Amino acid sequence: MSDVTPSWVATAHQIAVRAWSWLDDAREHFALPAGVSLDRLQPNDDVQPLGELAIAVSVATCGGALGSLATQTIPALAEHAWAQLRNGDLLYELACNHTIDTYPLETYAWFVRAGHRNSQLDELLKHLSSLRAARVPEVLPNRALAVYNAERLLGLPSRADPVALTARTWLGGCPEPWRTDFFTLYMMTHTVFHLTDWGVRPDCLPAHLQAYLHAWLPAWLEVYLEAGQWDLVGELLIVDLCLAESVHYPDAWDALARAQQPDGLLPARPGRVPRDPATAFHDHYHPTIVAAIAGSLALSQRFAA
Amino acid sequence: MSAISGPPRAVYATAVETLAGSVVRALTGADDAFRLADQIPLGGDPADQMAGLAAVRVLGSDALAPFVLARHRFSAEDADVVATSIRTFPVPEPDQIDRDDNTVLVRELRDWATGQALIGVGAPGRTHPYPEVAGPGAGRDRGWVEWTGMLAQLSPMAVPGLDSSLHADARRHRLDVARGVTRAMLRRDPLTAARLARWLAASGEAPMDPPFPVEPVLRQLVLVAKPDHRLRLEITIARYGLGRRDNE
Repeated sequence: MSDVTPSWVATAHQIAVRAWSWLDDAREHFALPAGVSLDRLQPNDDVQPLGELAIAVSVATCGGALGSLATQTIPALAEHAWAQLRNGDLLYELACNHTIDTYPLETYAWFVRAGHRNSQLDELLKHLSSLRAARVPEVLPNRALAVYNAERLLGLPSRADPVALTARTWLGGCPEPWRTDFFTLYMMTHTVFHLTDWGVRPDCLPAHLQAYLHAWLPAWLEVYLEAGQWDLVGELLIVDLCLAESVHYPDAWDALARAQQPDGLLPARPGRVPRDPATAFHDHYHPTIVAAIAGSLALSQRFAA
Repeated sequence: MSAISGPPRAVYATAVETLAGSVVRALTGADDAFRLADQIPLGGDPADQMAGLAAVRVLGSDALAPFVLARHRFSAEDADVVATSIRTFPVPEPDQIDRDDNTVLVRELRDWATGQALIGVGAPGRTHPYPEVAGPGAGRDRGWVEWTGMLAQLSPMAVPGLDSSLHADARRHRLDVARGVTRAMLRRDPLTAARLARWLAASGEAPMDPPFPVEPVLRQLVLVAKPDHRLRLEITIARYGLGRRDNE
């Protein structure tokens, strides 16, 4: 990195390298539970960690400045996760059997973003997305945007109207910024992630929502920094990086770096991290993935200048 | 025996609450004959008197709000109470306070506001000069969190009709004040939220982009926050800024 690198980028680089190191060391925990039948798999506990690893990989490999991490270690993690899903066959079976669930589609889209495809699954999802049922998923508005972006990533002819969907989200309503909480802000961050495709398309976030976020992100960051909610702090920093004109918040990046353990784990919140690696993984893998995404996104070409 | 008993700190806190309640009643029309002198039993129990005088100092110019905002008649006895409270609890000399914060500045500005309120009710003589260091941009170098923390301490200045460099800064940086309100609301600190909302309300609802209407904040505090006379006082005066004198 050059001498003119802003301090927040240097901090983000350190956070990313450490987080990826921990994720690589924790590879064995990114695994489906042994001996569990398809209908007993838990979307959030069992499948989601693999999908989230894939989205982190796709963000990191789009960026730069991570050297051999980006060219070897990180893609290998996606291959590991993809192998856990039997190269997509398991997602195919899930999509066949779970009519109402959208997560097989969403999870697959993250792997597609990371460079993996399964032709049988492609064909099934193309068919499913053409059904009238696909027009009316019973999901929260920010989740509907996730489906919209997944269909877009897969090249499926989505019939969803992102403008109408956005207007129905919490963020789309530009609510009083004080009338929110942890989970509402968590959903707000995902509205931004899906609309901008994790910062790739910042201009897809309407200008008035960019102005809204510029106005209130500082207040929300301050509150959750003070509370040590590192998971949400990381997600709010990703939101900033998804805006057309990011502010960067160097103090928040520094706080995130201080909260990160030397081994790279980012705790979700203040408190002792369990010594048992499996429990530590269960409790803190998600914020560590958030740290990897935030740090990697900060190193992308958009901010290289 | 003192009418209010308990540890000194609790006695003083109770006195402040009591005075704040009286001021609110005077501002909302529930008491149409407010006299500060009636709140402080000069010549009564010394402990009660001290607590009452301390309460006048703590509320600062807000103790005079019924005279300034609601046209209650200000008497010589009321002026005596204010003068005695200032004599009893003077502003410490700066060299008495070894703190790298805004403590002295805040006290001087609050006394300036009290002096201005006295002028407003036709009783000059206790004017306090506006501190030179409180010029444009004062306290802004520490960032919006620290700056709004200072503004919250200075909420007695946020009344319709009073103006200064600090008021100009608060108008110029409305977004920062609104961020301070937001932060306080989310931290469940209703008193700070109301104090900062007063700054937004002092010059009436002003258009902001993105919008940040003040009345919903005040309404939320009235309906949700634990009842508290000091909080109610901040909200009531904020509503004077918005041109609303009811207590709904």
